[in-house]
Amino acid sequence: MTVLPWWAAGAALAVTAVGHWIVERRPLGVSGVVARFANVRGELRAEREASRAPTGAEALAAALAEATAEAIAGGELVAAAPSSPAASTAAPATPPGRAPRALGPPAPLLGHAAFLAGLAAGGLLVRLAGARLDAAGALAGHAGAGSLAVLAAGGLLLGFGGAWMGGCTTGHGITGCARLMPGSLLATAVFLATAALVASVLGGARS
Amino acid sequence: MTAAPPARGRALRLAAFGLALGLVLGGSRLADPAFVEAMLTLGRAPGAAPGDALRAWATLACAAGLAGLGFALLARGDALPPRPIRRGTVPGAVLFGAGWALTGTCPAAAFVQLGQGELAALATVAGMLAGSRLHRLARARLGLDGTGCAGA
Repeated sequence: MTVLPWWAAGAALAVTAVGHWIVERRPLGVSGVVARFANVRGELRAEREASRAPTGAEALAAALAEATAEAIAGGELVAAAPSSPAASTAAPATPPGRAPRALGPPAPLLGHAAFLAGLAAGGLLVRLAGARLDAAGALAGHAGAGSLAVLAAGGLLLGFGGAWMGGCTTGHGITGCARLMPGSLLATAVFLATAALVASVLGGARS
Repeated sequence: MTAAPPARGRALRLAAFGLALGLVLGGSRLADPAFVEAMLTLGRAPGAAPGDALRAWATLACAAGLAGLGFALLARGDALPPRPIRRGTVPGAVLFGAGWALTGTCPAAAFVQLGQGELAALATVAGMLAGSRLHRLARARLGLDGTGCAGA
């Protein structure tokens, strides 16, 4: 059962991809998120180290306070503040006159966990709305006996291949192809052709 | 933006984007392996409903076309990262395509399936995490290129 007609689904995917760039200033993609959770300990360690480095508003405020206290203690109470980075961070980054957007910093791991949880929540809502997969369980029926092993092996190929080509159906197939990026167009053509070939061979073997 | 720490606001926004993507993938059946199989076999898969394959291809083409229009109109001149052809583009895509056919699932769809109550998708997710980790090892040991896409 389909809830969304193809044009509505296509439009919603496009709005999600373009909106994600405009709001987050990061290209929408999923395999990069998976890659982070494949190395979750390393990612957490990197975040801890980054938070210890003196960046961010809190660290900046602390540094300013410390510098002010020193200046007062040293008796050199001169107005040297305008050169501080606080002035530049307080100013709006993009004026309304539409300056080109720069690539933003990557989201913290918590943000990407929320993204994946959102994906699952979307699936749950769709199911609650009544659009379930095949009654017998589409996945269990998909590969027949040993389906879990097939799914795990297929997942392995998805994870390795997606990381190797640097994107997935979302990152290359939609975000990259929409921008006519050569790497994305080639990757999408090759993975669609391979998937069609393998699916046809598998389908022929099964029927 | 005002009182809440920026990390929490960003997590909420990313959750909303994930929710939107999950709703579309679930609602359009692009997270349904039977639908994907119909698409990949051009409707020749056993049990494929007539029109399924066309509907799936039309959805993807519509998405890429309208996103292209959106990027051209709303993001011209922006510093979106380039996606050049690299050494890993073709071999990675071959492996990825084979995985897509085996599972009937792309990486985003696996998480949508979990939400739909398909516990078997845990196997797909575990495989993806292991595959991505293996790639990381291979990149360090064998000098393969590639990473995930710049990411959400």
